[in-house]
Amino acid sequence: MRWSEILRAAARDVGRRPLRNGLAALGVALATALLVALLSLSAGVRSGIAQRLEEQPLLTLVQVTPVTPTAGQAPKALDDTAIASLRQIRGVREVLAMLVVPATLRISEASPGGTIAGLSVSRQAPYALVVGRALESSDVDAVVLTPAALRSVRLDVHDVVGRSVSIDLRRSPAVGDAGRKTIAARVVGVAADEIPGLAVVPLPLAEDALAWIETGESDAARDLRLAQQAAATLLVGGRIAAQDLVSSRYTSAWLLTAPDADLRAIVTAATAQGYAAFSREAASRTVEDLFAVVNAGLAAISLVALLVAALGVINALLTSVSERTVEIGVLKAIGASDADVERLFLTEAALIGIVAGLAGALLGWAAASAAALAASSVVGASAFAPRLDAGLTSIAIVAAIALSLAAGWIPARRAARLLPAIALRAE
Amino acid sequence: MIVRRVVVALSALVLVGAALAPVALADAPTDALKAAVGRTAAAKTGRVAVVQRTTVGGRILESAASGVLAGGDSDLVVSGEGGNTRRVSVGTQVKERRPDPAGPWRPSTRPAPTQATPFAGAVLKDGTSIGDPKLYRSVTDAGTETLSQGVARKLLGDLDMAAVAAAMQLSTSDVARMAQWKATLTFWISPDGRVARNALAIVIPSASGATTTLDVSIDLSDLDAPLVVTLP
Repeated sequence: MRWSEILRAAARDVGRRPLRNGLAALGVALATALLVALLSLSAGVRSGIAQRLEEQPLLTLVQVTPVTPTAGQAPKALDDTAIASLRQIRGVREVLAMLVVPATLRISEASPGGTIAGLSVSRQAPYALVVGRALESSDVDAVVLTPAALRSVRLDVHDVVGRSVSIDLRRSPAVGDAGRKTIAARVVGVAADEIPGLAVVPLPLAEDALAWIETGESDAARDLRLAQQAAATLLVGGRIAAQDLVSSRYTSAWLLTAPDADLRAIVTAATAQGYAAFSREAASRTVEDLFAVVNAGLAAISLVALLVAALGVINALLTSVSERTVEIGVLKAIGASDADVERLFLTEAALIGIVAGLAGALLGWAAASAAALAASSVVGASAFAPRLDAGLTSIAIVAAIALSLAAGWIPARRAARLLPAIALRAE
Repeated sequence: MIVRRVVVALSALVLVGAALAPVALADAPTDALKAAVGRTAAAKTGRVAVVQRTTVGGRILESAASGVLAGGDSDLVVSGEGGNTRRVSVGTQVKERRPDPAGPWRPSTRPAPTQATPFAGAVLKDGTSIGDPKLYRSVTDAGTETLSQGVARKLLGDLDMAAVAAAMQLSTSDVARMAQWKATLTFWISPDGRVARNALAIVIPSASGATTTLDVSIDLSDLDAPLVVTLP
C-alpha cells in the first residue's frame, strides 16, 4: 500500500469512530495542555525574575575587595592599575572604585554615625533612587542618602532632597591630633537599594576625607595625590615606578556587567587577579536551580498524565483492532502486507497524536493565560505572564505524537500478526 | 641663456631648501621633543633611575627607585621612608623583599602586562603623547649638558596643566585645581635622538600661602639593550 492510501484509510477509520477516538485524543490533549500550561507559566515567572534582575544593576554587579593577606604573601592593592585591569575582564561594562570612610552625618536634628561610601561616577547609577538624582561628575559636595540613613534621620523621603548635611570626620588618635573636621554637603537624592553605609559621596570627597583622617590636611593630600598621578603619567618611565611611588587604594570596586554577561566567569576572572569577588549571582543561580527542579517536577506530573492518556489510546486502538478483525483479514487477503497493516494503525495513532498535540498546546496556552490573569488580578504583578515559545510548543506536540505512536505500537503489532484465514473467520 | 641660468639657480634653491627643511623642523624644540618621546616610547628594554622629592609645609620626603625594565617585566629597588624594597615582576608573577631587600622573598601575583614596551607608549589617558605640543605653553632650548649617557640637548617645557588634566581625563574639579599649578617638564635628548633624562617640577599653591612641590626625575639608559628580567 502507498503512504497516501494508508493516510486516507487511517483518516477514514479515525473518523468512523469519532466518540471513542475523540475521547482518546482528548485525554492526550489534556495531558499536553497540562504540560504546556505548567511549563509556560514557569518560563514566564522565570523570565520575569530575570528581567527584574537586569533592571537592578546592584543585583548583577560583582563586588571586588582586596584579599586578606595570608602568611608569607604581600596584600594586593586595589589601586588604579587594578581598576584598569578589572575593566579588561570580558563582560565587565564599567568598574567603579569605592572608598569607605568612617563618618557621622548631621542632618536636621539627627546625627547617625557609621560610614560614607565614595563611589566613582558611572554613566548609569548602579543603584535605584526613591527620589532625586544620582551623583554626577561635576558634583563636589553632593550626597545620596541610603535607606539606612533615612531611617536614622526619620525624615520624610520627599522632604530630604536639597537639605544641607554635615559630614563629621574624626582623626584617629594614633595620628596625634584628635581633631575634628566637618564637610558641608547637600542631599541630591535618596537611594532605594540598601547600599552599605549612610551616604554615597563623590569619590574625591571620600579620598580627601580619608587623607585628612590618616595624614593631614585634605586639600594638600589631594593635591599631592594628583601631582603624583601627573608625574606618573607625564614622565617617560614614570608609570612603571608609579606602582611603588604612588599609592591609591580603594576599599572595594564594583564591576557593572553587561546584561548577557556570565557573572560566574567574571567572579572567577577577578579572583584569578588576586582579589576576593562576590556577586548576587549566587542568588540568581539559586533561582535558576530552583526553576530547574520545579520544571522537572512539573514535567513529571505531566508525564503521568500523558501515560494515563496513552492507556486511553491503547484501549481505543485495541478495541478498533478487535472490531476490525475481518476488515484486516480482507486487507491481507487482497495483498496488504503485515507492515502495511502495522503502518495503518500507527498512522491512526499518529493522527490522534497530531490533533491532540495541537489542541493541547492551544488549550494549555489558554489555560496558562487564564491562570496568569487570575493571579495578576490577585497580586497585581505582571511577572506572571506565561511565556510560550516555539521550542516549548514543538516539544509538547512532538511529545503528544510520540506518546500516541508508542501507545499505538501494541495494537498495530497485534493487527499485523493476524493471519488472514483466522481473521476472516472472526465474524 | 639667462633664462636657463635662472631656471638652474631656482632649481638649486628648491633642492637645497627641500634638503634643509626636515633638519630645520627636527631642530625646532617642539618637533625634537615629539620625535624623541616617540623614539623612546618604542624602546623595549632599558634601565631607569627615579628620584622623587616632595616638599610639604617644609617637610621633605624623598624616595627613589632604580632597576631594569624589559617589556612588561621589571626588577626595581625602591627606597623611601618606609624602608627599602626590591620587587621583581615577570609576567603575572611578583616576588618582593620588603622592607629589607636582602630578606626573604614574598611571592604574589599581578595582572598580566598589556603592552610589550615598558613605557606604555608614553601617552596620557586620552591617547595624547607626552611630546604633544598642545600640553605645553612653550618648549624652549636650554643648551646642552653632559650626562653619564653623553652630551644631551636640554629642552624646557612649560606645561599647560589644564590641558594635561583634561588629557588625563580627570574630574572637572580636579582639572580646576591642576589649572592653578605651575609645572615644568625638562627633557635631556641624547645624540641618538632619544630621551636620556626627564624631570618634572610641580609647584602647588595653597590658600594658606605654603606651597607644596613635587620634583621627580627619571634617568633612562641602555635603551633596547639585551636586558632580561628573571624571577629570583
